Amino acid sequence: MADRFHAPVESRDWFKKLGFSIRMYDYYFCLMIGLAKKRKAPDDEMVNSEEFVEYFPEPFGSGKSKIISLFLETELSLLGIDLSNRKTVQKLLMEYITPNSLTWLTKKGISEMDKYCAGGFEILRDEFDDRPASKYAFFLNFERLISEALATTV
Amino acid sequence: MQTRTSLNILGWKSNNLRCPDHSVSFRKGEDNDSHRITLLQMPNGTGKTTLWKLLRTALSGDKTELQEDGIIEFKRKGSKDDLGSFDVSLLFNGAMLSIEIDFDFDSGTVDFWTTYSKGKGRVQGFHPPIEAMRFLNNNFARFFIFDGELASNFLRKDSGKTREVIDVISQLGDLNNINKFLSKYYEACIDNCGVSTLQGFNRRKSAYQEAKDTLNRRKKELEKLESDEKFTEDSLEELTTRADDYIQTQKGIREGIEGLEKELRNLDAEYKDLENRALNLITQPDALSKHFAEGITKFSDSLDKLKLPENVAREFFVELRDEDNCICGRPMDKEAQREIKEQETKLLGSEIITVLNQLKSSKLPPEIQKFEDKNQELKAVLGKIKENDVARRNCATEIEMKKNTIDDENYVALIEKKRNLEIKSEEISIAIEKYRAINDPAKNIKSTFSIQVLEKELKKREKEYLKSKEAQAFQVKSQLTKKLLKNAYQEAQRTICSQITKDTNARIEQVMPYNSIRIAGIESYLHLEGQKGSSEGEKLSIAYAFLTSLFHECGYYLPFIVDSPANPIDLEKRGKIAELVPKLADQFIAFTISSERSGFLDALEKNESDIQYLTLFRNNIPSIVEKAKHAKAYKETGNGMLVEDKSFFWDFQIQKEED
Repeated sequence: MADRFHAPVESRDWFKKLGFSIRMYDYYFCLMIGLAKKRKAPDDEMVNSEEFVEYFPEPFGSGKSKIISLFLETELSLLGIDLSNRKTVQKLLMEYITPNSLTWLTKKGISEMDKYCAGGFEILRDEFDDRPASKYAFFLNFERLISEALATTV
Repeated sequence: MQTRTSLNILGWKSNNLRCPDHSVSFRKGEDNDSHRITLLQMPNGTGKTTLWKLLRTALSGDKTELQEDGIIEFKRKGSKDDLGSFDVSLLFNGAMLSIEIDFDFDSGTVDFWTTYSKGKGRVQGFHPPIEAMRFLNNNFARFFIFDGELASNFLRKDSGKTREVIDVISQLGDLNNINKFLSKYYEACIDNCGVSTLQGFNRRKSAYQEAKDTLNRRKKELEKLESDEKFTEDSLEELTTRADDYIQTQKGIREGIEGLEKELRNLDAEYKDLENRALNLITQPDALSKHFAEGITKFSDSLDKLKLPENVAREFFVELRDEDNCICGRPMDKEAQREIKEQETKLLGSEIITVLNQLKSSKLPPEIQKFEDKNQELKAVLGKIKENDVARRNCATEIEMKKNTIDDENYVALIEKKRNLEIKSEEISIAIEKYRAINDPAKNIKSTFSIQVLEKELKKREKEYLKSKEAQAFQVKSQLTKKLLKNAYQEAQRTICSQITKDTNARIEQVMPYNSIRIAGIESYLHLEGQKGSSEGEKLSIAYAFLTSLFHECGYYLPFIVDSPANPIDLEKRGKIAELVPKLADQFIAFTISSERSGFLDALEKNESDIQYLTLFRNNIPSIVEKAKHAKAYKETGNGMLVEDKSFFWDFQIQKEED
């Protein structure tokens, strides 16, 4: 059985009011915040996640290489791997990337990406006083959070 | 004050009747004074009875006597003329009055004609002046056109004529007539109104009151209904105006709401579009942030710099190891194969290379513009969403505010009220129709609503009630009046009888001074004092005395016409009667025959100088006619002679003519 993405269980209710058509939206928004803040949830917190899909559904399928590229670049950065060191880079790629998965990610790769997602959800939950009630309000705050996060982390 | 009423006969004229044609005048000379005494001597068979009946008919207006005998019986024997006449000339209270009786023997009819100098000339019918009608009637005329039989009746206990004559001459009978009239009038009232008892009257009264009360009640009800109708119509008008105003106002608001809702729908659609656009952009990391875009590019660039993936895939060396010689030409020994195997583990497989190449393809173009465009677009879209949200909120708020101004609840209540009023108005109209209807199906007055029907019924009942009321009131009044009249009648009759008794006795004493006969009183007959019987002469004397007293007492100065005034009286008493005759009346006309002259005329001439002597006879005895032509005055007609001459009168010896 192929590896699936995992998202925090709580995020289901948290995003419920926004009424996104697929759970991947919830995952994506959490992931982006986690990547922007370079924040991964610790392993012990990941038990509170639930799997939901084994591929990048549309509209994310067509942009999955950008998501994976951003994830790998952030991971390399967070791990302190020198991007000019071919050997270590290749090693990580071989660890995270596989053509045998619909997600192009190895189990390890998905697991690490899930951690960014869980980390991002924690940030979202902390930053929002209430659960977002409308996409509009969420979009604005989300964009603001991304901008603020990247402004400080980069 | 007693009023003097006088009547004199000035003469009469007879033509083509059973008595000889003649014209007689009782005038003295040219003026209207008539002789006090006229003696008209007519032999029996001359038509004296005919003349007597004609005279009584002319002075009573009652032609029954003529009709009973048969009109044709009055025609002169042998005459071919079918017409006859009898004309009496009178002087009533100084005015000329003429009564004509016209006979038509062919048709067997008689007609009266009346001429009164103070009247309308000659008019058909018996129409003397009303004052003269008191005695020119059948009841009265027989007392002054005196029938000898009447004298006997005055003294007969069973005749009842005496009181009758007093009632007629004194006209006390009028009091009884009034009583009879009142009774008849009351009966007519009863007949007219159909109610004769108090219960009947009370029923009418109740019925009238019931109709009156019902009508008043209905009028008040109608008034209330009309007031309600007016109020309802006014209220309806006001509500209609309010509803129209409301609809007009609400129309503007609703149109405004519709416009806003349309705008909101557009904004919603725009929002949806913006949301999709935002979602589309926001799901692209490179559009989210410049740093993300740079990170992605940096990763791709790094792979390029590291020459990852390699140009030769691991599978090349795997295949190479299985070759006999290396690509450099050296034989592929075990050492070479071990070295190649060690190196091949450092290489990526061909499949992962494909993945990495695809990752590298996500590298953004070198020009940053594209990213800027995407990010700007996202920001712009989010900005538009924000504007759209504000616009949608404002629009929704405005819609809500406008909706709040729509008072549909009140409008529904208003329409409901209007509908209720319309129903009420219709009910009132239907109710009013019942009151204004011409007809009403109700079977009794209490259930009737039609004012017209009630008014008609009230009018009818009022009429009936008033009639019965009038009859009731009249009954009470008439009973009282009748009682008064009865008392008056009895008192007047007692007084008159007492006075007449006194006067009559005074006259009897004058006529018969040596006779102790007197009347004790007047009851239904002349009651004689202590005497049960009397001679014919005494009866006539008492009758003359009684009538004379009565006429004088009652103020009537009428002619006294007597047939054979002395005939039934003994010779020795004729003188006394003759003495009485001039005092009986201002005008005394006596029909006599030659045998009556003895003992009567001598005495009469001694007591009265103004005597007219007339002799009327048929001119069929030449010797008499010849003698008459030597008389002082005579008139000859085709079948008779009228001689006015005392000597001729005295010498005339014919008692009965042979036709």
